[in-house]
Amino acid sequence: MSGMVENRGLNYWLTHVGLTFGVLVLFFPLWLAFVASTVTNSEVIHPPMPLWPGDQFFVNYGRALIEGDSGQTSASVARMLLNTVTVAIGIAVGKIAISFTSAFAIVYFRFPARKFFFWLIFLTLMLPVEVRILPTYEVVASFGMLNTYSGLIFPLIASATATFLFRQFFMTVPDEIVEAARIDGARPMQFFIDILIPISRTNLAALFLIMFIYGWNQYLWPLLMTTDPSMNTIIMGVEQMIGGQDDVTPWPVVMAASMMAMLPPIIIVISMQKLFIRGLTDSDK
Amino acid sequence: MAGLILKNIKKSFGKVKVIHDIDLEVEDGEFIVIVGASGCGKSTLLRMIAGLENVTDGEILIDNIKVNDKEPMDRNIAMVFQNYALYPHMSVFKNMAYGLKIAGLPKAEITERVSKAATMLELDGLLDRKPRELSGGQRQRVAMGRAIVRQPVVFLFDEPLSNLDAKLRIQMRLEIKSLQQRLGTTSLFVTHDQIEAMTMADRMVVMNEGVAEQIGSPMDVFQKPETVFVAQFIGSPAMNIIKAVSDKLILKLENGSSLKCLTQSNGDVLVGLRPEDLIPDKKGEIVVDVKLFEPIGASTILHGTLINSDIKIVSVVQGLFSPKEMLSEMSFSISPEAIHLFNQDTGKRIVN
Repeated sequence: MSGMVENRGLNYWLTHVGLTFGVLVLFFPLWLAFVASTVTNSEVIHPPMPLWPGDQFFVNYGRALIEGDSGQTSASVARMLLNTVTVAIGIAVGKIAISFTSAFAIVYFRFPARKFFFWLIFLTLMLPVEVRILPTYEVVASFGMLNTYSGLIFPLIASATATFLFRQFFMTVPDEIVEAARIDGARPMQFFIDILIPISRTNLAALFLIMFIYGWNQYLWPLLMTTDPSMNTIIMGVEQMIGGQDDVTPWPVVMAASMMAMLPPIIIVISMQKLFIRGLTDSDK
Repeated sequence: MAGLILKNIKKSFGKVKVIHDIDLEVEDGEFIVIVGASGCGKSTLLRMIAGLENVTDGEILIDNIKVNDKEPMDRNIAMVFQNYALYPHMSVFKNMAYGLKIAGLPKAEITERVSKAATMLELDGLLDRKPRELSGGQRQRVAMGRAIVRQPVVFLFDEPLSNLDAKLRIQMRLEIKSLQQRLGTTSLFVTHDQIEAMTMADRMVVMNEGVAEQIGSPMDVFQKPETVFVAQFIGSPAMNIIKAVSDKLILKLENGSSLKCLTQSNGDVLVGLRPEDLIPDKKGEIVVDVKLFEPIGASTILHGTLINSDIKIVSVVQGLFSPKEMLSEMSFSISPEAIHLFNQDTGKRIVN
């Protein structure tokens, strides 16, 4: 690295001033939200809005975690976090399991109408949840899955994007490895478990990360199909906490809930960052 | 006893015929090299024997059992691939042991077989390494180890040396050959490199456009090539082929020079002259307009054309030439026994 620090002219400082300014602009709303979560409600409502944290941190966070908005329309944040983690993991695992196996079938087996099925899967890219939301609701409702985890998870686990990504990855696996496994006597499922899954490790991790965040950020679907506050996910739950008028909304508690809703994805992204970048850039072959 | 028999093997992809009628009986313990230019069907033939390609017509017998419809694992073969095809996530030990594990061998026997093969291939200290931590030559050895531990009836090698650098290639060539002699396992080795073929083979199969042009020992193939293709493919630089008209034992070359030979023929023929058989001789009949010298150390390659024509001719002369000695015109003679004659229409060798 030492060879790269030579150039410290005006450019160097300008770049850094620019970057720092950009970061501050982007960070400011987050800072405001954090400040709002540490003061009393009246301080938030009456201008001017304070810019430095107050002394209500433990009160507000404690209240959000345990009581939520006092059981009006939303559950406690602890409950909602549990719901959201369950749903996000369910969606991520389900998406990976389904897309990994379907990509396996499409790449490694010759069966009638193989191309047709591939394009059929591909077509579903054009049908996101929002487009098919009414029929999906109808199906889930008639299975009696409203207000359940399975109802929250199953309609979202088919993923054409992931199938396509895995297909592309499998196609870069050298044919000789498949053939060597055949000569070694590996049956298709042995090849799948002993070879394909281990060499896809980094891709699996990267996709898990993307899908977890996708699941975490689901808003419309949980909003539509949960009527029981105890099944609320955090993203929609925060919205539910906001009342009709400013004075009945406990803003510091809502902000505390928002801060806590952001934490898990941030922790996961930071802890899996290395694996994630490796999964997207090299294929470990 | 024959370890491997091919009977009238044919292969087509759709309407395209890639292999026409190949017959081969491989003796037990024999080292066969299949050599040919790329696209001649040699790898396809090997893959058919391995069970990775269907056989369109004909029979493959391994150990006297017809294996046409058997899965690769049930054929008693092992294969070494060009790019080694090691499992990237498994250690060297696991790479070698994987096939045995699937076959359900007891752990103790797997360990014994793998460590025996590892010792033979000098891989003892590397068993815990991953393939990416090995050099090209070591990976090649692991791929061979994976084949050896299966204790197959036939080894199949698909251009296993072409990813190695020149020096390592020569070393591995010797190692494979001596390993095969120690194990005594019937082997089929596919290559496009005629030197590999000449040095390693007990017998070689020279393939061209899906046809086995000649099957025989390297010296037989070199000394008595049966077709023009074989004559030009085996030997480096390639044999000169010149059109001529023959009258009994006298050949009249296209540029008017005449040569004596020992093979009787009449009419249009192709004359084959190996570059190294052309001997500088002031009274020689073959006069060459030399255009280019290529010194390669012990000898020099001369490129030129036959005088009074634009027929290209190459000759290899022992020793180095100093610029002074480089003549624009040189004469060569050739002993009558060294002349090869081929039919101009069929390309087949003419013999008496």
